[in-house]
Amino acid sequence: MEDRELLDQLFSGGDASASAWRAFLQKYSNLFLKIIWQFEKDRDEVMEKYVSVCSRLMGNDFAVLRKFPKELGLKSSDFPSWLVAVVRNISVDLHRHSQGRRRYPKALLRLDPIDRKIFDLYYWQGYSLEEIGHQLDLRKNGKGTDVNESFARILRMLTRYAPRERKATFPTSVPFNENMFVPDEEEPRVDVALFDKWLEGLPAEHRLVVRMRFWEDMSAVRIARILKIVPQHRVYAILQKSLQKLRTHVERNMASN
Amino acid sequence: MHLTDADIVLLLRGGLGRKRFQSAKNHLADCTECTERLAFVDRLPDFLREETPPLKSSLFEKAEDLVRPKRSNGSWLSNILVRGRVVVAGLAAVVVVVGVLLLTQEERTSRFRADTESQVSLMLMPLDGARVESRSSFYWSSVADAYAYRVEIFHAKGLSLWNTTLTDTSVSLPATVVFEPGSSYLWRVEALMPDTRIYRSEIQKFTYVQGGPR
Repeated sequence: MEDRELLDQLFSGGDASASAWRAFLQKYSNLFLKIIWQFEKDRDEVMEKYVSVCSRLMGNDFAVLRKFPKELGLKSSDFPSWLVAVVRNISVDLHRHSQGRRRYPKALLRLDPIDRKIFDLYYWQGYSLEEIGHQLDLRKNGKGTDVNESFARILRMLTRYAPRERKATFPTSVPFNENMFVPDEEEPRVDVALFDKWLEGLPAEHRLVVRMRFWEDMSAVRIARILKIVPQHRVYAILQKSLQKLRTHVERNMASN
Repeated sequence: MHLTDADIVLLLRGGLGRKRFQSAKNHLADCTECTERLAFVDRLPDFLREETPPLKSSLFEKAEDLVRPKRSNGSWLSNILVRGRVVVAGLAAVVVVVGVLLLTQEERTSRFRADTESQVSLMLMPLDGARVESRSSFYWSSVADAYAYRVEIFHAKGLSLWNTTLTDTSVSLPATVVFEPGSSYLWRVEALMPDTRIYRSEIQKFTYVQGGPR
């Protein structure tokens, strides 16, 4: 049954409404669960939230769902995407403590620990590549990770490729050093003031591209398509230019201190 | 002001007008929350692909029970009268059922079926557990004296998907019936007899797999 038809039946009241609700749940329950899993880690919690989400959707005679037909410009085929947005809002609302938290950029979380450390030292703390190599004890005995190679890899990954497809690996030739270790369970801290100043200094479009790529981990291809950036490789140029600005900003900051 | 859910959906599919598109972009450049919402909705295809632990059936029923058929909104007096009538009708039904059971003790019929309905062993194609690759026809063996057959297809959870009544012993599905690849469905045939009896086949399950024309 088409979504419009399903909604019409749902809003019609009586027996038809009850059977349409059942069909609606059969069609979308799995999607609801997947969305709720993004906010909850415990299965029982997810199951409990599922019923709460359903209650919110049907509450006040389907007031939430009744908004869909009134949204200008939306087609019936937009219903699943719209529903994702709505159920996400409800899930966030039910999981209040996740709000208001400053998030570390998702794209950086996907880097392997050494690369992330190199990124932090270079962009957040203003170290030169030589200093980073020395501090992390890289190229020990002529072996190990070359900091320049690592740096090139970081740039390539952050600006060009969708890192979701890449699995993080820990280079085996590098001896364990607790300075490099970034525990997986705990989110790294982010220098809020530095981030804000960096972003403030970028043009609006660049800020948005940086947010979508670094914070939301969206691929450059997807960003170009959504923001209608043509040619597509302009996104890569924006990302590289933005990172250069961050580095300059950190250097200036260090010089003034 | 934050972007609406509709703005986000339209932005993702390129449906925003030029002016709204520009103002949405300007807003997103400085709004972490809306960028996060946008990225989240953009992940819909991932959500559809990902596997998650299944829903407990008791919870599905709990959610389902949130919407029940509406009852009449009459006055308290009419409610009492209606309830009174229901009680009287219930008592009468109990008396009739007990009487019938006492009179026909030797022939025990299922409590869940009317006398006119009984199970019959019909040969059905596709067979139970079959994998159907195309929208092939459905076949069944004939029942002597049956004047028509009612064919019904259900979703795996029992919701009716399609039904028809015909005199042939095969049927091709109309284009309006769409199967989801990988999903399972149930089907059965009822033979309608001239004396109003109905013979039901056993329910057969089949899985639709993509590979042939839909």
